[in-house]
Amino acid sequence: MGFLNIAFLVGLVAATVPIVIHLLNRRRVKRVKFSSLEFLDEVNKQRMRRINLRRILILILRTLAVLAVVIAFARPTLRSGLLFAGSVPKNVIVCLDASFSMGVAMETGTAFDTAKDIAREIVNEAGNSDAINVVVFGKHAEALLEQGTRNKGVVRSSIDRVELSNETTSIRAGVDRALELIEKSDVEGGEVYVVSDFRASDDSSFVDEAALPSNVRVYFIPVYDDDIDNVGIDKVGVPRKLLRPGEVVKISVTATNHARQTPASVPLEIVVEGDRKAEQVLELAPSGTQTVAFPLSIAEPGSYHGRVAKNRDRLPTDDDRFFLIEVSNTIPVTVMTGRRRATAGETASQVPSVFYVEKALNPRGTSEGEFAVRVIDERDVTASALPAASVVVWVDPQSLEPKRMLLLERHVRRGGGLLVFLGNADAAILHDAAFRALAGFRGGTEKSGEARAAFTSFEKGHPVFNLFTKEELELLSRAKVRTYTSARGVAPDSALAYIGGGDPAVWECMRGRGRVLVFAAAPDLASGDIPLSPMFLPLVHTSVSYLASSGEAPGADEHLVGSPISFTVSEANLDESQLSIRDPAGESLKPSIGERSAGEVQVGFDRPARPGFYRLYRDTTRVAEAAVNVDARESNLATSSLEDKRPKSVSVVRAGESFRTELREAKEGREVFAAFLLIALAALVAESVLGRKA
Amino acid sequence: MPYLRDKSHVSRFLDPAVVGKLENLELKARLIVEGYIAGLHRSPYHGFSVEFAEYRPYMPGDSIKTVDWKVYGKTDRTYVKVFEEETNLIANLLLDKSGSMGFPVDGTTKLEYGSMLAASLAYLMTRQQDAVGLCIFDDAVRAMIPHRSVRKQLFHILQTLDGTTPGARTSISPALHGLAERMGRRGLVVLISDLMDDPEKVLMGLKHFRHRGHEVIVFHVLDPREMDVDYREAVEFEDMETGQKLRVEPAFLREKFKQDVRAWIDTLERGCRNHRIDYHLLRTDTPFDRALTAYLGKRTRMG
Repeated sequence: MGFLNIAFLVGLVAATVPIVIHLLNRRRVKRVKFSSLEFLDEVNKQRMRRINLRRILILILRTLAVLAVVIAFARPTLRSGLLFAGSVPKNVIVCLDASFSMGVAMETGTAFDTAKDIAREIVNEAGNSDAINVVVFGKHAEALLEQGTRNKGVVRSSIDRVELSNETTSIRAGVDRALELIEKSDVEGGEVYVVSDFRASDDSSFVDEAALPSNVRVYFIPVYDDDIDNVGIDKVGVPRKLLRPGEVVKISVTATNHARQTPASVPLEIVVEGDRKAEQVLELAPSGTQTVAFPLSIAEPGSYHGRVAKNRDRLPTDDDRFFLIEVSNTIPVTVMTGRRRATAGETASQVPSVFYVEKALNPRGTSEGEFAVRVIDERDVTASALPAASVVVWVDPQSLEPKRMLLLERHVRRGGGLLVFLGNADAAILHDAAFRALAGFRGGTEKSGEARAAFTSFEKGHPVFNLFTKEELELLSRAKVRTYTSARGVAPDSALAYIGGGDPAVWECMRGRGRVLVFAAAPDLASGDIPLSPMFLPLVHTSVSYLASSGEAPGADEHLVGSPISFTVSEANLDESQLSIRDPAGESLKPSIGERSAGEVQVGFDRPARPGFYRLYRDTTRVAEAAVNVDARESNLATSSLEDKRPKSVSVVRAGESFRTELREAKEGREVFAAFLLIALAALVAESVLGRKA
Repeated sequence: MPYLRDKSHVSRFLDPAVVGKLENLELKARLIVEGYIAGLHRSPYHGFSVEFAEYRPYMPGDSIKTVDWKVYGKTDRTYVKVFEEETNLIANLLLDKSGSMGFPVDGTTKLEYGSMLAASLAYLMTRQQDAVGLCIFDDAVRAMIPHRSVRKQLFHILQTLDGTTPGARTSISPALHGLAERMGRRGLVVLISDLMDDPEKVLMGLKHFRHRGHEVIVFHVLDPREMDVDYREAVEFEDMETGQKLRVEPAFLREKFKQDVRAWIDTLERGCRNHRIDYHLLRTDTPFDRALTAYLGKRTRMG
């Protein structure tokens, strides 16, 4: 048991008052001469023992009442700790939540300001011999001081300097960091105070109870308890990876009303390079999410900075969302082949199919046309060879290592296009389950024989074919094929054309945000005469353009605050000293160079701190750019996850006017003055009853 | 005494608290008796003699029967015939002067009350020409005035009563038996006592009087505080007869004490009734008229 007002215990002396009165009363006896004690004596013998017992009981009750009242005034607290446990040196770690949800405006200042006030209060309440430190956490956690200090002034000024981050919340990260500090500290055990809003969090549990040392106590201090209404922009989707100049696209904007009771009317606008391009009002039901599309057209090629903005509310950080639009005349295409490339002296029938595809896309070999083509061997596929904006054309696939297949699959799932021309049926690739799953068929065998129409029964409404006229389709249907892959398990609704005889000639499947288009025959003269068809070149162009323009923009795979950004720079001989990154506030940051591959280098930056545009400069030239946004999950201020994820051993201290009292209660135990007042009351009632009976 | 004829004044002297303040016992007795008689419709002094003595003017309270109508016819004035008194009753007053009769020490004691009552009865009896005797006792007979009907008898009785102080512890039973044996002629025995003794022994002593042919009136004198120990705080009682000390909390045992006292009184009253003894409980704040009425009732019944 502890006491919050220990000085009041001096009042325990008052407990002697009933005893003194009792003793005085015993001495102050009236002496009376009485005629006969016969009756009195008899009655007295029977009753005096009981009377004396009752008197002693009354005395005990009176003393108890006085004791209970005095103790109640001393504000007793119950806990297993010692009475003067505060005098033992310990670690005091304040974990301060700096996630952007803490930026919500309160009656005075923000929740973060309140959190800092609470942190200072905790520091003030710490013992003079305690080692104090502060951990600031969002998604990541950092200690403000290298090691705990007894100098409260230093800690307080450190707290003053802490700024709100734009990261999400990970209570677990903060607590784990605090436990690390305690473990490394010279001082045994300690107290960890987590000051947070305890809103949306990915943590399955805030504290790993199994790892919590027995001499460490954790306290959660929610800055506010109320559910706060907030509307946040969750996502901005640019529906094409590359926009062509003048092309009209629809920018999708998704917003969520996190209020559980109140509907919201949210005006939204799209601003590109400072110009307001469109605006709409979104009507959101309570807890409702809605997506609206803004039509957008940009005439000139270039890299454009866009921002979707909504009206400002109590939490402004999630009221803007940034995106990039690439408007370009050129589509980067990677042509991958499993066969050797064409060599001199080969006859037409010996020329590998990749030759015809490369020529179709880049006739002059200068990459100055509509497509910027690079041809690589399938064994050289690396992550850097599959930039998100490209279309991969895989001709005559043979085999691919699983990890490279994974890269290819990831490329597609992130919105990349893949055009496959299946080669001979003996290729190991047809037995590769991962490939079959990616290409949308369950197996295949080579079929050879008489020439058949390579393309019949077109899906004329499909974008690959709907630009062709009837005559052009007629021309295409005249192409013949002798050897092709008879694919099994192609979904009927995904087949776009059939080979004469019924086998699928072209089919399409969606994988993630990307698409895969598969041709059953190789474009070479050994398989038929497809490359010789006047429609071959338009077919390849249309297919690649379709794949390039479908799927979502690189912005769809958003960069979030606190998560690493990686830029691909097409120069192998880069030095870190040449590179710099400017954040949205214009501050210069130092990137790190990661993986290098043929002609390319990965440049990374670990922790973007602000939402906006991060620009990578080589010397003074901007070479890459990324839009970084806040994690929309942090926008939900309506639901506290405190009780769901709090281990039972963790105490909760409510912020507010009585915070200091509650903090002391939590540290030193629950205040039980009411119980003592009840004891006093009960003692007085019992005393009254006994006295009346007497 | 014209003053005494004013009933509103004389009735005051029936209050023991008022009479007790007077010094002279004779005066007390006279005031009590005259005050009592003044309230009666009929004088108690007549009807006991047959020999004519004199005429006197009619006074309020005199019976109409005593008016001599012949004299009224001659003189037109109302005269009353007064007859010579004649003794026809022997009365012995037995007054207990034990230590317990000295209670309380801070007011009219039971002995004072008993003395005033005895004096009043003696006065009344003397006025009625009855032979009155007095015996004062505690554990033994301390004073004895044999019954006589001479005028000086009242003086002797009052003088004896006046000098009586509380004595030793009481043992009524032997004293009563002894007195019963000593009293020769049958008569009226008036016992004034707090009866602080074993009720059975007390009743045996009284029964002894009855056995000897005496009529007995018992005036059981008790102080109100003896009946309900009305003390608020803790008290150390000292027995006035034995000197025994006892520390008690009156508040805690009052009810039980009252029950026990009531049972004791009931035992005495029931025993007296069974032996045709008139029993009268008199608290020391009880007006004297109650005792005098009881006596006169008894006297009337005895003829």
